[in-house]
Amino acid sequence: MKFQLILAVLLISFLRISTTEVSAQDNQRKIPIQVSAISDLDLGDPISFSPGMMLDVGLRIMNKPKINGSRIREREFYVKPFLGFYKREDYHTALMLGTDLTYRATYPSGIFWDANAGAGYMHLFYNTPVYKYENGTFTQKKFQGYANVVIKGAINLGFDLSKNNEKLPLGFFVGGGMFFRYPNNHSFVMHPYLQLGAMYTIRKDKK
Amino acid sequence: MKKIQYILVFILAIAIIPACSKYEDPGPGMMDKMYHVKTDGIALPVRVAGNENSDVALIMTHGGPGGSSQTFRFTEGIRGMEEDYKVIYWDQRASGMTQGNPPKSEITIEQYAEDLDAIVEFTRQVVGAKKIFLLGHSWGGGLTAFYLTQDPSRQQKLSGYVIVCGAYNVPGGLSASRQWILNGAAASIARNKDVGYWQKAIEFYKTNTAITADNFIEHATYLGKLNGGIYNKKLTKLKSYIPAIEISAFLSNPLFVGHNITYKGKSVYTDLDLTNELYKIKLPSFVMWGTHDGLLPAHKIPGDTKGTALADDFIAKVGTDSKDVYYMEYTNSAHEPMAEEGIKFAKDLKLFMNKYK
Repeated sequence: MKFQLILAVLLISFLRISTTEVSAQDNQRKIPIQVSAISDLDLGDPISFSPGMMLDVGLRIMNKPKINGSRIREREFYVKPFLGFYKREDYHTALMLGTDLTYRATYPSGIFWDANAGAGYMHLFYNTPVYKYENGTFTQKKFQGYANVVIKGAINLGFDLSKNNEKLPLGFFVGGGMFFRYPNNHSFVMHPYLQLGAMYTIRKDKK
Repeated sequence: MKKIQYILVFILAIAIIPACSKYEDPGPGMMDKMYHVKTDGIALPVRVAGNENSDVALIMTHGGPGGSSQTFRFTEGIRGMEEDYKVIYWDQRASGMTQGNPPKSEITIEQYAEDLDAIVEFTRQVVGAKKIFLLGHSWGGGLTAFYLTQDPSRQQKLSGYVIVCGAYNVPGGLSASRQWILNGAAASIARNKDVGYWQKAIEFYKTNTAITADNFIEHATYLGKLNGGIYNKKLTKLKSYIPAIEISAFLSNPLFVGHNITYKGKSVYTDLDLTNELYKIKLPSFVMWGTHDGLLPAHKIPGDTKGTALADDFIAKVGTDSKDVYYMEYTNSAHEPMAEEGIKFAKDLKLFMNKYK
């Protein structure tokens, strides 16, 4: 029942994307595709870093540019489906799929910052050999894991080269955030993370 | 084409950003492997470390409840056993680095004993150990004592039992602990040392006549102030590779388990007393205790109305032939002799295991 609910939420999110994207307010579609390395942190002694990656695609749902002569400051809202993973050595590898809602402000120079909040589904796989004990004997099993929901928030700072040069559709960003997976022993588990990414922006004129 | 090149370069640049977890090579003839043993819906993390040629294994059962066996790899006493044997470090359900979300109805000593049986079987069937010794520290001493007495036929799988500062009588042990602190508080006040602090402690114990999961943290704070948890502050902490655990889960698990774990449907803090079941234990037994243990005192504490003496009571009540029961007290230790006097601890434990392997 829990999984059906998660799937329903995700499905509704994607449907929202397809309808809201059409209502973008300017005459250009802008779809930033972002790939980033994430480093899942644990603030123990010593601090540990676990690697991961994230892919997300921004679908603009609102654009309210602030125009000052020839200088335009873009203020945009995106819905960003994301797909990512991280690996914690000898513990688990997590796959996550979900949607962020993002506010992005891009200054005339191309510098931007964005704030992201989202939710999704996470599946965690034990990444050690797993032996299942049943009827007094052991069998080795593959792809053993469990399901969680994930909620997340992040802030990024970056530079969009395409802001002033549409022939150079690249950008980069750094940032950090926090995600929480649930449930684990009836609690949320907090994950701070750092992010370093690249962005490729597709711009298309609307018909 | 250029666009594709851009994308590929950026993806490559990002993919090579390293984020490393350092794994230590255990060295020739030694092993250090991680597993998960899935039983009754939960995967228990198990680490098998030590002499890969040995067919003798020591199962390390941690305390807490809610703690982790991983931390014992930092101690000379347990790590020292890896030179000669395989050590099986396992974490209990909802504890330490165990993941998942078991229902609260599974946070029982009865379920934990089933889990321990799976670990014993794993050690026998998968690790291939021919001789298995079971060690229980603190809460792990309570769990292992329950495991052995609930179904004495389980003892046939084992060659020996090691109980270290074991909580086989939790309400009795904590009653003694409470009195141990009250005596320490009175002595401090008599010496005119931290008078205000210890008067506050006495007030706390006036309103907290029994130690439970709800007041345990404050009790442990007073205990620490009197060095009743760790007496030897100059202990050696070894380095050890630790899996990339989630610290926030690792720290919150003891609170969750402590507040929920039951014995016969009631809190272990108020109801787990196996003193009258110890006669069922027939295994060669090694009882190891720190002289200054204020959490689970070895001997009777003056003024304690329950009169519990955990080490003495165990030796008196255990069903093992007296010639196969050994006792060692560590005079420079409190509750963690494997850390506080680790070299001596390992030497003594090896003597016991070599005799009965």
